[in-house]
Amino acid sequence: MGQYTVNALALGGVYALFTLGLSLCWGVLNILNLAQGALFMAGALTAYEIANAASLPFVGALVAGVVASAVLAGAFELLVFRALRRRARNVHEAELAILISTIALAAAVVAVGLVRTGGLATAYPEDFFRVTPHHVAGVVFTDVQVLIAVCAVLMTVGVVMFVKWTNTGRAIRAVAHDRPTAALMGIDADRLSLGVVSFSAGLAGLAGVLYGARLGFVDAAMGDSLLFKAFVVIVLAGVGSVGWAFVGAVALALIETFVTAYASANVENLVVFGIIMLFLAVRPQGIAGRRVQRV
Amino acid sequence: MNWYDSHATLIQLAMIMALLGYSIQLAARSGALSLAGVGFFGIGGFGAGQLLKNDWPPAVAVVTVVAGSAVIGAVLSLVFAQIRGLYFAMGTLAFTLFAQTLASSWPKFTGGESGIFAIPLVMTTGGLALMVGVAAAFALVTEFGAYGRKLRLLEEDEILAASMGVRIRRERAIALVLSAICGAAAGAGQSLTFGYFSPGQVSFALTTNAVIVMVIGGTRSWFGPIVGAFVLAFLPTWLQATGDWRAVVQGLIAVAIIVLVPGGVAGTAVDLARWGAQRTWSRGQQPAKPLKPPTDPAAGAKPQARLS
Repeated sequence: MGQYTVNALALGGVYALFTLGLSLCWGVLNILNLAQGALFMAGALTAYEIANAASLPFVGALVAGVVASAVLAGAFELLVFRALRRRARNVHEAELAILISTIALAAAVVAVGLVRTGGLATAYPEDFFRVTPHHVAGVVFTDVQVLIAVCAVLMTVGVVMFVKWTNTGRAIRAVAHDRPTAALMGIDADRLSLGVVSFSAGLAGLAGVLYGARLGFVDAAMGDSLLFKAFVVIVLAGVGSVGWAFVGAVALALIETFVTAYASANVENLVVFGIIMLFLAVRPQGIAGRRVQRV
Repeated sequence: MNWYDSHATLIQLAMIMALLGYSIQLAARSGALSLAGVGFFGIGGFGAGQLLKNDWPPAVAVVTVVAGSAVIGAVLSLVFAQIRGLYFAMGTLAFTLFAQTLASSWPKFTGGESGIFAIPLVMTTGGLALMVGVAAAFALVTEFGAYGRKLRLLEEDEILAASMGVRIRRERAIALVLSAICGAAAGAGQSLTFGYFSPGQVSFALTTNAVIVMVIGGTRSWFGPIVGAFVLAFLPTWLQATGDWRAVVQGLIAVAIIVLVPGGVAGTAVDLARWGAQRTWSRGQQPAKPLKPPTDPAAGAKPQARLS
């Protein structure tokens, strides 16, 4: 029981980091970034490459993974999203064009992953991350699990505080609310977009390296299943709602872990799909989300 | 050996991809991005395979799975009645991802990891061509006339369309049902042509390929998915020089088309042809430029000139 909870919390941390980025991009910039799973994998893959090439400490590989994902997504924004946004005649058209472009970008990034891993789950080097199990009150947890939980909490609290209390945070909220008007107020929406897209991808990269370290291997398709989980969390929490996304991620991980443990993985899938469909039908804006219908 | 015989498998695969392309394109014409096609591809593939193994007549089996998928699509459209735009795309993708997990965790129906084997090989190239032909004919008929104008208006401006009396929810439900029908037909085609169908085939990668078919073909012409599917099928042969990196190059080509050729290859060709026809018809007269609002709301990202 306690052991399940500990495992679920670590898993929920990965979901939270991954979803946080997806939700920010969507809520602030109307970018549904389906390449988030590929960026997640890119972080883990970079850490793998770095760990193989140089014997950097784990923290070095972690930073490299985060930076690689952030830079990659920054390039997406500069070379692709910006051009599509400029060309589109309305917000709706821009949204769909960018969404389609993220699918193609994801294909390219995953293809790189397939080349580098040969399409197999590839193990990190032995000494990449020494896993030390701790025994406390009858449950076992590892350093990686602690690190995941700490990162998830820090990032969530950090983003909430940043968006709420800093000037840049206010600018982000203004852009999310009404991009053209925010631009009229002297906010450099282009620069802000670059920042949000890169930061979101950095979160995906962070989640990727941590998840990779937790599993002990990197796999080109490792991001696909997380995309579905992140959808569930976003539908539960509402787009752009950071705090609720964290709650939703942990709740989802708990539901999954316990239903799988006491029923079966099939029941788990059905439960999760049922939740997402129920919310989409009845309350598509999520628990705390903004209105869906924009006019 | 003639050209057709040596490329038969590739041509069959291209026609299946064309059907998947239609599953996105027929919906995209009304401004809704439906990624549910691959989910229905799974339903059609496993459904038709199981029915054939239980000695159903092939035609009845295909019609049954397609009709069943249409019903599921209609039910799904009720669930999605309130959502639009990115939510709709995400909801339909969630359906596909769910179908994917279900396929690998329901071995009684799908045969587990290895899939179902020894399905009678009843589908011929002609049968596939017939299904693609029906989809293409439907796209052709609905591209012109009052219905075609309605679709274009819907894609252009939903609010305007609604105020002109277009029933948006109904159109979106139709889009999803069409998506379901084409996806299921593609799945049935796949399993009855090649005799096996496995959960690994219901993948995110297939959704990506279906999207790339639509990107290459564009949404503006009825034969777009056919062009897109054949280009995608033969692309590996043309890109042999890139070796291992072929899939990477393929993805980057798709991105380049999205950025540089927004109407897709087929759509842009049609546009150019129409534009040329217009030029020769009214010589010297410039084609009318669309009115541009003073500030482009979607792009309004440029910092406005500050008084200094």
